[in-house]
Amino acid sequence: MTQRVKNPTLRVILVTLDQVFYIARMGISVRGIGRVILGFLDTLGGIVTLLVQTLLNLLRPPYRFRLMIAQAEVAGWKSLPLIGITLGFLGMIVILELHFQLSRLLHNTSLVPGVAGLLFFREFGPTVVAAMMAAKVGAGFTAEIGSMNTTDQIDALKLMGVSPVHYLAVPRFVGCMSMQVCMSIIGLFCCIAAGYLASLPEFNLQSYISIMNSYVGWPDFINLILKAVGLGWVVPIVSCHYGFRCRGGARGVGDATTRAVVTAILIIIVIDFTITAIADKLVVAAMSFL
Amino acid sequence: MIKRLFNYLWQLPFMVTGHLFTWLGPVISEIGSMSLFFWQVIKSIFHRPFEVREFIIQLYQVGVRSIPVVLLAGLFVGAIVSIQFHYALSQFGAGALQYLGGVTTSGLLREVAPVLVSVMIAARVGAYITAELATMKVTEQVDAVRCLGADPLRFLVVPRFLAVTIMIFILTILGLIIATAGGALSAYLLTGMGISKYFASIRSLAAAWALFNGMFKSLLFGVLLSTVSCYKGLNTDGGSEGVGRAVNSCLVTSAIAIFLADYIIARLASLTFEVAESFLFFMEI
Repeated sequence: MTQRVKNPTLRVILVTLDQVFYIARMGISVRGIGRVILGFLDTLGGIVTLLVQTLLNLLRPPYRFRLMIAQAEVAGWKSLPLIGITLGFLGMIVILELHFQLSRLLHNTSLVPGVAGLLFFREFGPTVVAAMMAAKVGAGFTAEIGSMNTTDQIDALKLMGVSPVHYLAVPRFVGCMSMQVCMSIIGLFCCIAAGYLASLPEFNLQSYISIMNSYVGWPDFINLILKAVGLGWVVPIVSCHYGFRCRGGARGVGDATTRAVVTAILIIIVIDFTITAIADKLVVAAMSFL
Repeated sequence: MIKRLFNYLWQLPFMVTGHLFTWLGPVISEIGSMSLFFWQVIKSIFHRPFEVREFIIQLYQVGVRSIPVVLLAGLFVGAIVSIQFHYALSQFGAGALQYLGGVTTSGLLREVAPVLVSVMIAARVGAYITAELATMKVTEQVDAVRCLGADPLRFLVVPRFLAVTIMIFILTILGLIIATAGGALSAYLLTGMGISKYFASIRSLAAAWALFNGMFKSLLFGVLLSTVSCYKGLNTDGGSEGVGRAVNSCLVTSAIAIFLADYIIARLASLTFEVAESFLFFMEI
């Protein structure tokens, strides 16, 4: 039918729709579903394998402290402006939005810093920092390792008898994970400081801090550190996995970078949901037990 | 010794100001060339012939292939927002918990869904567009397009620009629906709150103005994101490392642009929300 249409614009639309439906048919077919499931399992298995390999290689000498510090500089100091700017703006946005919500809900805006502090400690410190690190640091790691891979430098490493996991993944793992915990704390302070600036006419520093202090405490800080540790492995491992898998020149490098960032953010969201749900359940169970 | 310390202290503010300006100069020039690029793209949207086929292919690439990512992220983020607001509202006593659905949905409408979808699309599509255009630039395919007499802006950039701008809007609606479902599901499964109780407070707390706010934000983020990613892609040099660097810089710039625009809109909304809400209440929307 498509061949008989004479109008060029209509014909282009029909041909493209035909292609789209062809792809959709392929996607819905059994083979397509099987391919999706196999790809998912392949990625998951590769990430878990790389995590286990990295943890095993972590204890094995020689320890490359110089590389670790170089990667910590890349993950920490170089991404400090991004973390500061984004988390600062987020802190101000949270204060403004909570002011709106609480004034409408409770007709009482004196509790805004308390709720904002809860959100900062429980979500913004660990999770948003992890997502920002995935965009900044993870993309950089994948691009670096991927371009090493496409120019056969990883094969050269293997030829010299150096394990690529030991030489490339372990320093990035140590540097990025340690720096992510520090960055979570720094991002938390950026949020609190910017939130104070946003709530300035209504609260002074003392009332802001004291109201926040009545809602959050050391347990929330320990929760933040544990969450940051639980999310910290995702960025280096996922980005190194996609870097090692990268094939096919400059196009392959770009493709691998995109996939690494998306997969890292999705894994971060899913792990964060799991930790949040389990932590809340545990708190409720402990309360009822006590 | 003391004199040197005094000298240092005296010079410190000037040094800091100088560093700030040396850092600020490239940023301002980058913003300026991005705005010029945006204006050129806007002008070349209306030039004939229109690349309808490329546009539809880009719509498929940007929109349809991002649906799984948006669905997965939206479901879990809606659940996370619901859990956190449940914890926050339970601090005010049991009476405040009846507002959980309204607060969660209002937050999702106004802030979380547009920002989340924009960040996911920046990671999924913006980085992909930058990588594609940067690869074409590095392998001199953009110059080849220009040699063949076609305008790379009209041929390469305009379909991607329009596709991202339209599809972020549609994907935000999709993400919003699935995030609301995720919030209700997690409230039902994890905290034992009834679904009807959850949805009862939405009507009174999430006004049409909130939806308008979120949708306007998603359009603005789409324009910002597509401009940044196409600009970063077309201004690349230096082999496969250059492609990686371009992708990285696209992600960083679009994250900063999204949060900055979000803050500006939130500030404007907080200045005007009473007027707007009373106006809409008066109009009975």
